Amino acid sequence: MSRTNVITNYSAGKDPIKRKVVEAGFFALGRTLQSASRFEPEVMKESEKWPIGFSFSMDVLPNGPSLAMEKRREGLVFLGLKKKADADLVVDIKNLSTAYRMIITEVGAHHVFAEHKIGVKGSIAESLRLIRMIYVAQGYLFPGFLSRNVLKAPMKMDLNRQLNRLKLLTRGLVLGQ
Amino acid sequence: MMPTYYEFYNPVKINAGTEALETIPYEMGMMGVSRPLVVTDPGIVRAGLLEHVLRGFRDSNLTIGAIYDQTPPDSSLEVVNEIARIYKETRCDCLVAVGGGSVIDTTKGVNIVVSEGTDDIASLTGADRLSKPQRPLIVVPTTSGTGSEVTQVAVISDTRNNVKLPFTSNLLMPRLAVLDPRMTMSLPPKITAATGMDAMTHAVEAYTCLQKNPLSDAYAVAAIGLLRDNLIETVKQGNDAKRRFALANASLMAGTAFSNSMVGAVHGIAHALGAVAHIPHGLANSILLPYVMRFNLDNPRMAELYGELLLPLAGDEAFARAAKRERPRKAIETIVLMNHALNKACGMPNKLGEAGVRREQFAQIVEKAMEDGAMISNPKMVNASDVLEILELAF
Repeated sequence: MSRTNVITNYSAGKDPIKRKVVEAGFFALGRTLQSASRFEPEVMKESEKWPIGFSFSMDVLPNGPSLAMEKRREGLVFLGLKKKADADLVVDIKNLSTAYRMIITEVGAHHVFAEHKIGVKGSIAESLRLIRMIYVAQGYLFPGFLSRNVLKAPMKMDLNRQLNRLKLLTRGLVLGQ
Repeated sequence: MMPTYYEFYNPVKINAGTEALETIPYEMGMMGVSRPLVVTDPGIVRAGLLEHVLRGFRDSNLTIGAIYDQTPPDSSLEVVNEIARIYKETRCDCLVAVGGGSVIDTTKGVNIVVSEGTDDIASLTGADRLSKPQRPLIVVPTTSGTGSEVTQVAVISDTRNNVKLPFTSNLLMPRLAVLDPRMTMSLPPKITAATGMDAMTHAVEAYTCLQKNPLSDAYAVAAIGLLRDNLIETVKQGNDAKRRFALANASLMAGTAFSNSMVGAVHGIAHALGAVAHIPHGLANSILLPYVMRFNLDNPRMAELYGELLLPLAGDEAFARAAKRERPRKAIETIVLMNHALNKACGMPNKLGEAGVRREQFAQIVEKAMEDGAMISNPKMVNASDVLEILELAF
């Protein structure tokens, strides 16, 4: 008679590399949005629609990481990689793998949205505003051959935008200003 | 081309055809409920349609807990809360919506209130916010266009803050959709035309939007074929039960398709037109559809998909006659010709100006359209200046 193997209390474990990559991506995105909201025309225009004190939290389910930001007088402020439980807008990415694919530019935010891999708590209109700002940030963060995967239309890099990119990658990303 | 990933969900049982209404009491028994609240509107009562539904309950031993027949054309939080209060007071255990989009959305809103046990439905607006199984909802559509009987969406107006609150959740899906030809027989020609083109827009956008998939494609193509064969004739000759039934099926299939693949820029702009200029949703869709298709045409993927749609839109002979590169334009032309034929048959407007939209409303329409969730599913990027150009062309 053959014996049946029964595995009980099996734990699927963790994926620390993916988590670190997503954390790094969220950090870069948070600092870029923070900096862009102070001088980049498109991000400024979008973020101006939010009242002072408005906050959003982009959370990877179920255990994070998260990207939390708040609108203040000086612009958007990156609050770190912790979940903001009382945020006005919460965008839930349904699993770590999806967030990872977004960060490594395998898929764009619009695809993830269309694939039902994002849940939104709060106004859909404000979530679209956030996605438009993320598009702009990604356009600056990634070179054209990578951003093609995540943007519906590639960002045209004129001289002004080249200068903005330089500012964002130095002052914004490195110095957090 | 297969999508890299997709989700498809349609748990709605569909009872369709002759005397389908009479099956409702049995289905309620299978759901373990016995005391429905029927939600409808004054027009349905005047047209004698509610009577058909009530007759379906005869000899069933069931008691209808309450009938609410005052749903307005735009559902609002106040109406939803009022009906929810009646539901609780009369100890109902399920909901039956009899009507068009407004009645169905209102009833879905009532279901959220009574099932979630909330008195602040606005706090649950958004995607996937609901957490509790909803009460059984049975939907009897009386128009052939919205497809709400098979969608997971409800839109409720917050009249105090002048905003529309969208709710999307798989939990909002009705348990049963009942398509009975009697329920659409008396639909006036203009509403038949506009709601039919609403279904057409659902099917075309479902076939071309970002989350199209093999299952939604099958529903979309079948819906377009039924609309092609039956819509114009039904507008000309409304008392043909077989054609009415075909349109009801087309609407349901187009609804199933877009509920799983999402809709695009036509809907994004049409929602804004409804909010600002108060023109009926189906009419806005019918006017905008060819203009948005032309806007999308320089996207190679969209052109390819429009070309494929020529087959269900115009039939096999027209498809075979057209060279491959001509097919996308021919598909758009077929929709334009369909709109013209409907204009001739019943006076359905083909331009926004004829529908009562004013140019000075454009700025507000553009702003609202850019905030609409449907815009993100349009495969081609749409910005504010594109929306303005589409509006100008369609004016």
